[in-house]
Amino acid sequence: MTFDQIETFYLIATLGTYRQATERLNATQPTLSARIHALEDHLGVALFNRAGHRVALTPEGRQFLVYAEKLLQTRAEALRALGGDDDEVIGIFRIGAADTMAITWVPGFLAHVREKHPRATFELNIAASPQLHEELLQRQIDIAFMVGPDSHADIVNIPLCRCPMTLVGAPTLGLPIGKVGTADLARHDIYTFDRRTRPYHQLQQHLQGAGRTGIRISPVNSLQAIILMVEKGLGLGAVPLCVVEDKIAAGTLVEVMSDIELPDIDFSIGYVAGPDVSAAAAVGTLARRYLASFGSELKPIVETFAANIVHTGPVGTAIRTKLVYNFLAMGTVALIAETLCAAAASGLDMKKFYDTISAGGANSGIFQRIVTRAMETGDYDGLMFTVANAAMTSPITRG
Amino acid sequence: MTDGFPLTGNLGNAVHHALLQASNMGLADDYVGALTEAQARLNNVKIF
Repeated sequence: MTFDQIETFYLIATLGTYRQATERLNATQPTLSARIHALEDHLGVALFNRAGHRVALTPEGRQFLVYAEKLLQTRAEALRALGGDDDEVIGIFRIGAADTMAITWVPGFLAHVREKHPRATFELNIAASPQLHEELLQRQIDIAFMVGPDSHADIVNIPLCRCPMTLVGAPTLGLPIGKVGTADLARHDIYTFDRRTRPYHQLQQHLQGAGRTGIRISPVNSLQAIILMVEKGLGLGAVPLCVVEDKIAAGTLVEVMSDIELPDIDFSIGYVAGPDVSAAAAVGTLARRYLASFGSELKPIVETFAANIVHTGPVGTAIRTKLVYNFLAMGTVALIAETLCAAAASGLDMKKFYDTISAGGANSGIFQRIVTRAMETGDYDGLMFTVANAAMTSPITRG
Repeated sequence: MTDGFPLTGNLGNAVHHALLQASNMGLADDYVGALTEAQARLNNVKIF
């Protein structure tokens, strides 16, 4: 009796078919059949009743399954204790990812995990979290990065990250300045995740609870399609901030202020519990470390064009920081404008006024950039941020 | 922007108004320092 035979038996028993076990073990069906026959000969009992494509355990098979699980678990513990490389991923490993994960950090992670586990082939399946849940339980995928935690008893959950949700629209929609009320929101469809998902239900429950039945939610099963439609002005989008923050920064989307509550989304790593989880656990640990080091890995790249780098916090915090920063900057610019006008209207010597401000507590980087240049050249180009850009982001977006 | 916070404030609307006013005066594509130019024009004051 070998561990190859026991592992083959365990996988066929839990997956229910030889076909799925062949994919998992990257072996042919005759190879697996030979292992099972050898095991049955050694034990002197039939382990499976074979009927069509599916196999069912015999009473002896059910009894042996308990021991097989213990044996595999003990082997994994022994290898870990002795420093063996039981965590190496070999063969085909299938990763399931929710849309939000798939269009943000997962592509970079795939390159990383391939480098760490060169003897494995990684496959990516992008789907909504409820579908990933089913695929996990059917062993069609080995690990999922999905909305979580998953409450199923067989699924191991490890917290991964939290993404704030936001309501966005195209600047061309011409939404009113400031907080957008129910009547204005009701003029637009709100595109969000498909109706099987947690964010969809949370949004729907919130609107119903608030009596806002006039606001239409349009579920779409592709996050990228939602973003494209919202950019084209077809409606608003209730989406994770992390997938649109570059578009908000570029001004192609603006955050829309409203009373709609959009709870943050928690994402988890999920895999099915069992004795054969070492590969999934290894990939899950790698994913967590990859996300944790995301900022430090990017730092050398950011340093090529940025002098001051501050890690502001979780995903979404940087864009909020930027928007609040803009408020301070634009407020300072507006105050400088009125101050200079008042000084000139008061008949003050502008050079002496400039020297006074420069030496006092009211001095600032923005004052120096704008006023020093204006005094030398007569233009106001010292701070390269256009009036139109500032006007667009100041009323509608919010931190 | 400050309108989005559950806070009482006075400056958010004022700053936004200043930006819109400069924009309406044809300075939308200029850099924000042009708020000074807008203020000078509105008050018929020569600053520099």
